[in-house]
Amino acid sequence: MLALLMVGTSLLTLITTVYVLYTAGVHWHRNWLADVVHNQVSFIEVIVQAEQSRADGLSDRDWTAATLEQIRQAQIRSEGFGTTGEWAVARREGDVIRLLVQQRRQLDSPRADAVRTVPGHGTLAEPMQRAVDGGSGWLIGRDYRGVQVLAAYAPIRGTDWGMVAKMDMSEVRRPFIRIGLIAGLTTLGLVFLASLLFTRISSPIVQHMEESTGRMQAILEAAGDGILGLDQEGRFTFVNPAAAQMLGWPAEELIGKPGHATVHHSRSDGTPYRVEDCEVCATIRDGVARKELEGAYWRRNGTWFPVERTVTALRSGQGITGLVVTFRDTSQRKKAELDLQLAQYELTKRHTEMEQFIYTVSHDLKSPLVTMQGFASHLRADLVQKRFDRMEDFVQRINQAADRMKMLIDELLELSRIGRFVAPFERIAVSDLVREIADRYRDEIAAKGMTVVIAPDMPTIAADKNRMNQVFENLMVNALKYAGNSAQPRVEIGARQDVGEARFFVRDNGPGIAAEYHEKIFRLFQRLDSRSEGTGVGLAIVKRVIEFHGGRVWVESSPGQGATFWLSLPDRSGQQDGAAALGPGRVGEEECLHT
Amino acid sequence: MTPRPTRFLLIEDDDDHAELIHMALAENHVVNRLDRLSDGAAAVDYLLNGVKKGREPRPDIILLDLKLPKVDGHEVLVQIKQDPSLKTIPVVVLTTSQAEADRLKAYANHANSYLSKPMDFDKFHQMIKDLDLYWSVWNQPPPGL
Repeated sequence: MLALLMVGTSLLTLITTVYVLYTAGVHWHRNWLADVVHNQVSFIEVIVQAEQSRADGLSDRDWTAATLEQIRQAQIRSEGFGTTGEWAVARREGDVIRLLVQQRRQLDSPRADAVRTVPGHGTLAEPMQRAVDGGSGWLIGRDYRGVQVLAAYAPIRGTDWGMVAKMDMSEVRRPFIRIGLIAGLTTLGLVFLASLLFTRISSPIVQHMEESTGRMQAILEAAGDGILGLDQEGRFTFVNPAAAQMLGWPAEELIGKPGHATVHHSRSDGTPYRVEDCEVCATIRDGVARKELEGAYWRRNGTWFPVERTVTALRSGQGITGLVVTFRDTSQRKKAELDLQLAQYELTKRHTEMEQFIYTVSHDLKSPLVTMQGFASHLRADLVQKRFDRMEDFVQRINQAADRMKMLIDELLELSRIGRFVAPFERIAVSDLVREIADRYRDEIAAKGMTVVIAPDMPTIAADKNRMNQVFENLMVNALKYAGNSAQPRVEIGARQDVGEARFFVRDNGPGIAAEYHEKIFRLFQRLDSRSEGTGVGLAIVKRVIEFHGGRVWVESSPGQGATFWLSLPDRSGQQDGAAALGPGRVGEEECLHT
Repeated sequence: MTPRPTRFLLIEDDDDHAELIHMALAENHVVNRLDRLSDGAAAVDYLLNGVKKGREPRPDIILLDLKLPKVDGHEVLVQIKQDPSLKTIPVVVLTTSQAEADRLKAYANHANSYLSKPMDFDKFHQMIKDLDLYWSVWNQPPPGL
């Protein structure tokens, strides 16, 4: 390209130069020919005048012949001019022009003297035609041979003759063509040399630049961080693939778009983010680099993601010419941070739970021991005193305390197993499960004249079957126990399908529970009534099992209104373990076991 | 010093423990009366609505278990010590718990004494006897009560 340009320029200069020289050359030759014509015409006119006056009375033919003879004699020694230069005197004779005298450089050329006449009309021998017709001047035209010539012509006064001096244009042109050719070839050679030299010198530089640019490009494209270039108006000038991917735009579509309005128009809470408040735009104004840890960018699809962003101004001699923004999507990191916090919270919770557990266990397990030792001491004292009336009572109390302790230990062991020994989850039709449990308490239900209503189409769940059995049994035993005190005891078990979870309830029409105890009752060893049977572990087990299954448990109740214990379990219907789609959750047809 | 009749209020959910305390007091011939409440909520109600309003006799000493149904012992203690007229009643925490946290919390809530329920019969009797002796014989109650 460069070589072409050089060749082109050089040739143009060359052609112009040669043309100017050529024009000057033509001009010089023209003047020179005109001089030749002028001199010869003057000379011939003198001879003509002389001959005419001497041959007064002679016939026209005679003085003409004499004149021509003189001219020939005079010119015989003339060397002529150039290699193709010649001059001739002629006159019109009918349709042709007869050459009277002609001077050629090579008179001995057979062809030279062969010509005696030239056409009087037409395009050939135009200079001579003009000369014999009385014209004078110069022209570039064809001579009698049809060759292009530069000619000067003039009439000879006192006669009907005309004179032409001419030379072939090829001769005029030859030196210029030679100069042109030599200069052209030299130029081409020089250009070639220059190109060669240039290539030799520049190719390592070019290669280095190409490598460098390629490397930069590769870095920009391979960078995991988004890199954006913006101009002074805040329009995108560069978008690397990572940025395009994160922003959800094809890079080429972003180029030229206003950055703020396209990807930075709102804050993460959705409120508009004005350009005036924009930190990125501020850098365009003041050139101060900024780092933002809690930024947001908006994708093409209208969603946003949190970013960590660095904004740096691009400067040149004229000041700030644009910006480079590098950013990274921090959602993964934020999620990890959140997960960590959650894990820490969970750990703290577990730790607190564990402390609570140890404290409670130590306290509650010690309690029956105090009883046993206390009454054992009394027993011994009574034995010493041979006082037997209270002994049976004491022994009974000791036994009861021992039983109670055994029960506590068993249930604590049970509680500790939850989450440690996990059976594979299986599909459980809750209606069937509850029906089986109710069946086990058939006699008690019948004895107290209770109504137990079980919804027939409760959802199927995926869970540890033994644990879920424990959960529903504990809740039902509680319900049966508390409902048993009312006039028309009634226990109802049903379900409700909610978004993403299945909810089950066990409802009784017992005395109900005041709001302040709703949370407390699920804690270990918390009993509302010290005289009631049970250890205070049952609901703790329920809570633990349900939470282990990812669900929640709570109670809705107020004194005198009965109590409804709710369980929610996450809908696992999408999971592979085959917990089938949860069925309809409404309380269906009532199914009464006993009334 | 003349022993005067002492009225004990026992707040204890465990029947057996209540019986043991009762027997200990009786067998040590402590001149006393023992009232017993078996949960925290009943105790608060008894004190704030009964004793304070003169419907129930004012106890000379309260024996308080910490682990109670409904309202726990710490909360009962707070209720007693927050009340201008009830706070002068000596409260002896009597519990199976030996946890430091319980002791700290009890004293922070102005418990007058903290005793662990011993498992040994003789110690227990001695403790009850000393307790009675200290509070009802040696200790000078605030005037006017």
